[in-house]
Amino acid sequence: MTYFKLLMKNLRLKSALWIFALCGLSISIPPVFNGLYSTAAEQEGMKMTVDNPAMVALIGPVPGGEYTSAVMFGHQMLMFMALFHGLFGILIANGIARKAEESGLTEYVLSAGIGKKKIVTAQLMSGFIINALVFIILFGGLSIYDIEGLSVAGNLYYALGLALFGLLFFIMTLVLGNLFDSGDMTFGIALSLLIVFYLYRAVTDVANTAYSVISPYHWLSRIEVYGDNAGIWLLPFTAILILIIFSYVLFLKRDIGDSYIKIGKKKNLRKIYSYPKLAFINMRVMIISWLIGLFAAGLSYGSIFGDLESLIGENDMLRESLGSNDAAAFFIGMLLVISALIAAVPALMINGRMLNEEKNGRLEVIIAGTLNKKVSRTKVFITHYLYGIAAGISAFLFTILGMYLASMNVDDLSITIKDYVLSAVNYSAGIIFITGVSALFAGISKKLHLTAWLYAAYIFFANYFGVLINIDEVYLMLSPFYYLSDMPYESMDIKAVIIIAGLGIMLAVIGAAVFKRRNLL
Amino acid sequence: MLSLNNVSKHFGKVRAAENLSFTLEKGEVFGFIGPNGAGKSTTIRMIIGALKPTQGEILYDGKNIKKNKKYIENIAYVPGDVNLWGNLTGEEVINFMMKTRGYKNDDEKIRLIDKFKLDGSKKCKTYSKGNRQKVALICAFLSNAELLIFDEPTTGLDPLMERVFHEEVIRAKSAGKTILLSSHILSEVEKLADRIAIIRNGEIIESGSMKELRHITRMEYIIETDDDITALKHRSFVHEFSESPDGYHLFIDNDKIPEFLKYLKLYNLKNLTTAPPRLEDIFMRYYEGTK
Repeated sequence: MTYFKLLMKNLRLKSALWIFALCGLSISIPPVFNGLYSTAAEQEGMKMTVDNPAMVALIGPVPGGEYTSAVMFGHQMLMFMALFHGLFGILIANGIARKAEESGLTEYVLSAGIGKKKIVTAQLMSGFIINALVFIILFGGLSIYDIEGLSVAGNLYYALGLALFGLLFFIMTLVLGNLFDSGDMTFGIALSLLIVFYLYRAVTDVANTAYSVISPYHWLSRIEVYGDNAGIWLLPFTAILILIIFSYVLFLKRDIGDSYIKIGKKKNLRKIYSYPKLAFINMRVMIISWLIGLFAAGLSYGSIFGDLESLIGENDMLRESLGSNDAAAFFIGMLLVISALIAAVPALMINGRMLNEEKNGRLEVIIAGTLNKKVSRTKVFITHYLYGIAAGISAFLFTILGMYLASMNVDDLSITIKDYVLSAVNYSAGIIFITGVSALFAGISKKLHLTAWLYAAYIFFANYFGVLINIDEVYLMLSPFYYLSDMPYESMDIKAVIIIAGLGIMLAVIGAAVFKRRNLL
Repeated sequence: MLSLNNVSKHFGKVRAAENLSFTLEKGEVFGFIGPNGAGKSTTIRMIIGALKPTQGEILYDGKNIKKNKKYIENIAYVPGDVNLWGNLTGEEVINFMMKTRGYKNDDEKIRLIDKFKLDGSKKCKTYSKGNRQKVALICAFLSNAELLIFDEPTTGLDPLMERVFHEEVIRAKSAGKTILLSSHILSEVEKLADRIAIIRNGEIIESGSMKELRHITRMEYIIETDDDITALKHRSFVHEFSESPDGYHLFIDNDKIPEFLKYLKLYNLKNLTTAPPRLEDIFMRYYEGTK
């Protein structure tokens, strides 16, 4: 069996799952857009919505010409999908190159008589095959639809653009793997490039697209798939050829395990001298990802506020349940409840991390021998609880900020900044309550904490369907949001806010008291 | 300094520990011996307060640990399976432990890192089991805790590092520290412990000093001779009589040795070797009892 075959065999499940998820995501969208925005007026409305700085920063400059549902699909999907395809390329490439080298696998392969050149060729070929599959599946999948505007040329450029983008970052990661001496470092730098290119074009797309051309994302924007179909913008991807040469030369000219750039081994020791700092370092990636993710979610919610009236108008079920209320305000209120629930997820995860420390046996080790005032069960509990509240509320605020920014220039929206701020306070009480439930259960046992997740899921569905199908109010009584006023279209009930938040804190206090006394796992 | 009085721990119907009683004197190395699953870790985790005893009481310096929460500040604990934070380097973990334990001794830290040959600049997620254990051991030896508790501390260490560990235990002992060493590796405990307790199925079946325990065991003799000594085989105090190229092997009950030596005078011996009793033998006898 050749090394290439071995690599592919090793990669097949992982890459098949990725390809399935990525392509599935792309392919499932066109019919949705086609159903939502079928008339020219609706499409024009959508175009207005995305033609503002926040949205341009998010998904790229608005293409010229008619904004058909196909153009809409290409425009709104490409940036995000490129980000994911790039990540996919980076992960796979790093796994078979620098990480394999780090774990001694590459040396082992060399000792089996497989030449260095063959190793690079096999790595490159895996990248080609994987992205060729991406191309074939995307192109084939999109071609199935009989949707106006979803042209063969457009499908071709959409699929080819994403495949090339994935391949570009795949090979870039191979090259970076030669420069840096660890898998972590290579991954970090490659991921930073992926993100920096995105952020860079977000800025320049708003300011002046002429500067955007350095960013591979922009090449995809400029094709204007399903509109202009300017295939010429695929040409910059020939940079791949240069990277291929680099990946050979750099690998052949160095020893296994060596690297061209050596980061000083004497890394600065971080001063981690307290449990809160330790916990933060361990959870910061998770917390920050949630903040970014929910900010992006907020932006995408906000971007549809302009069409709320028309969206709701079409949906009989919604229309009916709304009665005579201000449709937009009602809908935003519902979105806020759901956003608050989603924002509570990181809080639950942070409490869950405490149980993880417990299960791994680290908790008892750091408690034994340490000064009680530095690390004790109570201190650990409170740390996670407060981080949970802080992360949950910040995530919620970021969602609202995103909504506000994306809907800033929707004229006929009756929601003001003040409404947003007061709603944030209002629904944050719900987050505090749910975090309290989670803290109580975490305090009792790891198993019971699973119930906190079920509880959150239950509230989600109860509130979600509560609006749509008018379920009996009894089912909503378990939800803290049932007792809080439905802002922004109702005015705030401060008493409810204080009681719900207070109850939440009380639950956490009980949880802490139980946690202090119980057996650790 | 630490005593357990009739301590039991039940998990539902499972009796992980049953009526355990033993005492650790200040400055001694106490060996805690038993096969896997015998209840060693459960007992230790009750001592450090991770588990609450179902019955009985644990006293530290004469005070019930339930009423004296601060006792834990005087204990350093190394679990059998050390988990560390993957994103921290080994040295960062050691520094964290030093800070939260409220002391500073950089020379000692450097000495121990050097002696255990630990690369402290690597992230913990890249460490093998042995390296993770080294980090935890260094943290424990560095600490100014009075009582060091090691739960199967050498399972991931290579023989050289095992020796380093033994040296450090002896060093800690001479510095006046008390050590509780749990293990299923009997030779290790035999080498280090002043007193031992043997635990099986959650119960202590024997405890005492090494000397005390030796009299309940048998001495092995290896005899080289041209005479035929098979007649000895039928004496009641002779066990496991066997012949091999290096001579006859036989085990003699300790209290019957004078009688046995009398019989030996009847033969012309070329060589006579004795092997001291080992904990393995003590252990095997208890297992024979349950068969």
